[in-house]
Amino acid sequence: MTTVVVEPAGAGHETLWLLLAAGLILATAALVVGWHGRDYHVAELAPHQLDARRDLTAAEQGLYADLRVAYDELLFYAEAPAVAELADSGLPPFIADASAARRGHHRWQRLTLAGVTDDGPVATAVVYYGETAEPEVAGSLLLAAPAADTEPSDVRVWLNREAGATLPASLMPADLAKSGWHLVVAQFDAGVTRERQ
Amino acid sequence: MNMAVTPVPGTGPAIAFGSVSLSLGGTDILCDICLELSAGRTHALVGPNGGGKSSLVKALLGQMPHQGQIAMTWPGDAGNVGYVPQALEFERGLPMTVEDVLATMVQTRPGFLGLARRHRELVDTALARVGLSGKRRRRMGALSGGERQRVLLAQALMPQADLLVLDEPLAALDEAGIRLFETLLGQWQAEGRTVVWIEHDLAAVRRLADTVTGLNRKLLFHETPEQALAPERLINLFSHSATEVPLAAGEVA
Repeated sequence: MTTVVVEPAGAGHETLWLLLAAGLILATAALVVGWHGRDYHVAELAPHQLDARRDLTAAEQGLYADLRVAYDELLFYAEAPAVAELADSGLPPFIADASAARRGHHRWQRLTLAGVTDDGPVATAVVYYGETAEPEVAGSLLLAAPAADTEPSDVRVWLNREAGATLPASLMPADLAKSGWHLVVAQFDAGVTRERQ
Repeated sequence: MNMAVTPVPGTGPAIAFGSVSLSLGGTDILCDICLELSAGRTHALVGPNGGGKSSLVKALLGQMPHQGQIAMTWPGDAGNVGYVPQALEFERGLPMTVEDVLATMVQTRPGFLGLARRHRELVDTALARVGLSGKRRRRMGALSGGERQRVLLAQALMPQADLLVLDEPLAALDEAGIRLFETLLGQWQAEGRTVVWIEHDLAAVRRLADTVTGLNRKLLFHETPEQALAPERLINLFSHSATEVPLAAGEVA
């Protein structure tokens, strides 16, 4: 004699197995993430530095991009050319065109300042100085012309948003900071793909 | 409710419903059904439409989320359960023959690959018993309602079931089909198979069933046909305010 009890129809067992499977998947995912996950550090900037991606206005970003391209061109010259020569060859931001007008009417000039190397100050350094007419649109800019053995990645641009920006005495960091110049730095780190609140 | 109907020795199980209730979507379909069905007998379930007859047999088949206990006590090992549904719903243009439908019931390989040779005899026998041997190649959509009902009866015979659950098998049958059903039922009764049979034809119930159970959301009576089908019982059963009829003095309870 066999007694068979009829179980009620229901999805209790299936639900249990499904929850177990979901829990297992989540636990595995948490383990993998915990194992392989890495903290990302966004490099902190020094007080005298500005981030090219986040700290510049739209006009400043355009000018900065143009200066980086111009720097690559300047590498072909044996000596830093005059601004008029650069303007004649149509190299932004040195030409006075509609973009220059929209980006703060900068007046560009070539100057010679006391320079700096890893070993300390050197006699001179040629810079291109763009004095802004509209500081609220874009600040004044300073581009160090390439020295003899510099690489494209050695480009250095400084920004000063003060209305009556004064030139630094030299390219020594202390002099630049004292006269309100900030070095614009472009860095590629995990912050590129993450929003920083 | 329990009634002393002598079990018939055979292969069919006795069935005990212990306080079975069923609610679907907040509606009470069955309330506290306590019922014992003897082994090897033919038990008819009668009652108005929506009274829960089909739900009770579906609970017996394990297809409903019922509460309470349903137990089947088999004389030996648990045997086969055959189910004949009320109707077979399918697209009339479906290119499936009678043989294809029966093939899907007995084999695991897809029906469109044809009937497996080892099941051929089983299908032949079942079709012969319901008188459909000559129509095995007919499309299901081309069959009459009575013939389709015979196909449903045939599938309950493959393999021969020890417990047969029939949901209004006579509804679409013609005269010859009814005679065929009575013959089959006689064979099942002689072999001691348990039959649970939902039926509206009370004359057939009186003639063929061993017990009659009245159901209208709750159990109203469970008696022999002579007692159950008395006029006052039937009026109460099919009225809107059906209540359990107290048994008269001297009736077996």
